[in-house]
Amino acid sequence: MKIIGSYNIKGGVGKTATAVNLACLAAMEGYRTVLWDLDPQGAASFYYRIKPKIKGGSKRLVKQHDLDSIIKGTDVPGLDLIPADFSYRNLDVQFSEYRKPAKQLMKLMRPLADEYHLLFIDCPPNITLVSENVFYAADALLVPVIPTPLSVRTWVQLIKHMKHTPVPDLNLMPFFSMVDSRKKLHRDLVEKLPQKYPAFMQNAIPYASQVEMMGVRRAPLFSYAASTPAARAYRGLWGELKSILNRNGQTGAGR
Amino acid sequence: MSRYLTDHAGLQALLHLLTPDYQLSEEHHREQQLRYLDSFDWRVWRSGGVLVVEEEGGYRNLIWRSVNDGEVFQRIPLETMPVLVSDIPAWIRPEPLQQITKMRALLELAQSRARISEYEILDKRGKVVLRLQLVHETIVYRNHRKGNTLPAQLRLLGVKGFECDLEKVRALVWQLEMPAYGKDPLARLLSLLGRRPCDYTSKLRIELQPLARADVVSKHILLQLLDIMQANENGICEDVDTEFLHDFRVSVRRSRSLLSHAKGIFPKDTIRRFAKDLAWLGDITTPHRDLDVWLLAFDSYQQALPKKLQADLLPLRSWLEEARQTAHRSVVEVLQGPLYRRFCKGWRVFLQCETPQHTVLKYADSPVIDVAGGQIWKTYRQLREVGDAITPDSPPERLHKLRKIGKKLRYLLEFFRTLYAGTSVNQLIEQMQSLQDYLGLYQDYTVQRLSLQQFMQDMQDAGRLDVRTEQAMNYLIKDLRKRQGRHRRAFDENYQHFNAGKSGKLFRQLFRPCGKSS
Repeated sequence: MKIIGSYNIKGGVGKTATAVNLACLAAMEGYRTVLWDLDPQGAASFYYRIKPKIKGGSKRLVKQHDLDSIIKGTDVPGLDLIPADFSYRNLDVQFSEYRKPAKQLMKLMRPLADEYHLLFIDCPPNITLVSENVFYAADALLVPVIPTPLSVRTWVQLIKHMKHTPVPDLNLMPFFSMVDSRKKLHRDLVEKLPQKYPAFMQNAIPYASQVEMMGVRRAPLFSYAASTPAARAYRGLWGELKSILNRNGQTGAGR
Repeated sequence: MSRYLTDHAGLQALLHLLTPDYQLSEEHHREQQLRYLDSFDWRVWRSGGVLVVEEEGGYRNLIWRSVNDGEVFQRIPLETMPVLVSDIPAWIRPEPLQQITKMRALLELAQSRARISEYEILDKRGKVVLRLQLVHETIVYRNHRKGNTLPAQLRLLGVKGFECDLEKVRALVWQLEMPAYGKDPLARLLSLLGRRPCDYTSKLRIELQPLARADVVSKHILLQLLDIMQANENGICEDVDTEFLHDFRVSVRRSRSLLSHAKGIFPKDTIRRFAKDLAWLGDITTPHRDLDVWLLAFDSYQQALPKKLQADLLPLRSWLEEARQTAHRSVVEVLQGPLYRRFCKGWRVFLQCETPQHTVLKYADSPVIDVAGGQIWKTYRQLREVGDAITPDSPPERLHKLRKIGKKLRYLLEFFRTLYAGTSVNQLIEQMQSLQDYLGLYQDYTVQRLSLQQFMQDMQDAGRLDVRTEQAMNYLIKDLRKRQGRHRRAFDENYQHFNAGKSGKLFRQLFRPCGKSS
């Protein structure tokens, strides 16, 4: 099982839309996929019409290590979801009560390894013990970056921060998100930033009202706007991610 | 997943029962192209599974399911069709399936087309909690003949976290008295194609009668071995996987082994003629098989080297691959050539020819149980004689001799095991196998070390050996020598293990001719 985090220190950059849509695409192709809505706001759960609530809250989950019992199937065949819970806001505190607090998330996910090919994590923003857990468990991080100075700044902060974590070589996969090609600033950054940071993926997600409509439809983009430019861009991004996984598939995180 | 035998009316009756508690989606229609796969020797089916590739809407998935109830063990998305399970990218490869099929290629058994009518069952909040599918599967013949449709199956596909809804619907199915679908659709498809599962095995399938004539039984066994050889010809020529040649060679070896015990059963000239042909077949296929073995084990040899030397061994792989291609061409030439055809024809004519009622041959019309018992006992005595004389200073050739006798003895036990049904003959075969495994590995180390030296020489002569590769190969030679030494020291333990466990007593009880003392 490969674990892919959708992460950025900054909020509102398209993390949830990325995790929701890529997980959907993976499942549609037949990859057994589970999406963990780790953000207490529960947006991914909302999109998939699943109540953002788990029995006993995060305290019980961390204690009993029974992730499998709270997984729910979504309306997309082959895609399951680990719902959010408002108590996830306390996960930092709960993890810190254990020995090796940065490895708790990985321990929780380990039993799912035989059941799924892919586990996407919709991460909450910020740098906390929870994000450290994600870094430790993940095989790669998808990092949506809006082509604006502030968003680019957080990307640079992330690169610097990663050097000081126990996983400095974690595969970071930045890509442009919410690109408005009418704006010169967006066009310039999309052109120039990958020259400085070659890790940027080739596919950029355009700013599109159809993506915002996910909240109204309560469904991934592909169930109602499958042939729009945004959907095509997510397909391209998924294709890139898949070829990276196929290429590097021999070497798991193994941590 | 649960499967039931039903039709459209049955589905409608079920949907009617569901309406008070659930909402139904509109009926969706889907169509899938299905390709059923297995290895030539039916490894997946034998392990209780079925492999089918479903193609729909540009996506392709390999489904590995239970042959009995259709439970899906794994679903693997495919970008390209794999020849071997190991061709599937490592991160999604199902290791248990890899363990089952190992180095065997996946071959197509049957094709069909499935028309699927699907309903989503939604709870009161509009969440999908279950899917119902009515599947009509039609066989696709290669010659475009109109296909027969299999009985329709109803599938219940549960949604994780909503298991109670699945249970509820199962109870309704029970109420409607729908029978379970039974064996996998593949069994029905095969029967339409005039085939049955497991119609090939490299093992002998013979029920022997103790009082049957020795010549009749011998011919019967040899004929089956010839059938196995010929069943593998195409796979060898088309280079499908390495095991076609392996099975071919094992049958050749078994035939040679049985012929070597056929003195007094078949005429001397006949034995000499066919033994010579079989030896020729063994010899001309040996270089090919040796190279297959090298390439199959290459990764493990590479991993035995220190990390910094591992990449240096890769030129050897290219060398072996090229040599293998040449060896393969030679084998194909022989198998498609007149000498081999003539041998097969002559051998088959002899084996199918009725045995004369009266014979001057000493053992030809003797009851097979007497002849078999005598041969097994004689070979066992030889094995003990050679084995007991082996000391820590004995040269490798003595162990090789022991291995060859052991192999003969195991083949005899396997040929005639059904004569001794209800006894511990299988236990003896297992014990023999364990000793053979030990001796085989020892011989492999010896041969591989020598052949590695030969490869080095050949590569050097061809100007293809650089210093780093030479260094890596020398390291491997040393490693093989060490392994061989370690293995040699374990001989006593393995040989004693064979002799202990009552094998001697069992051999005496089952095979010693009356009136002879050991």
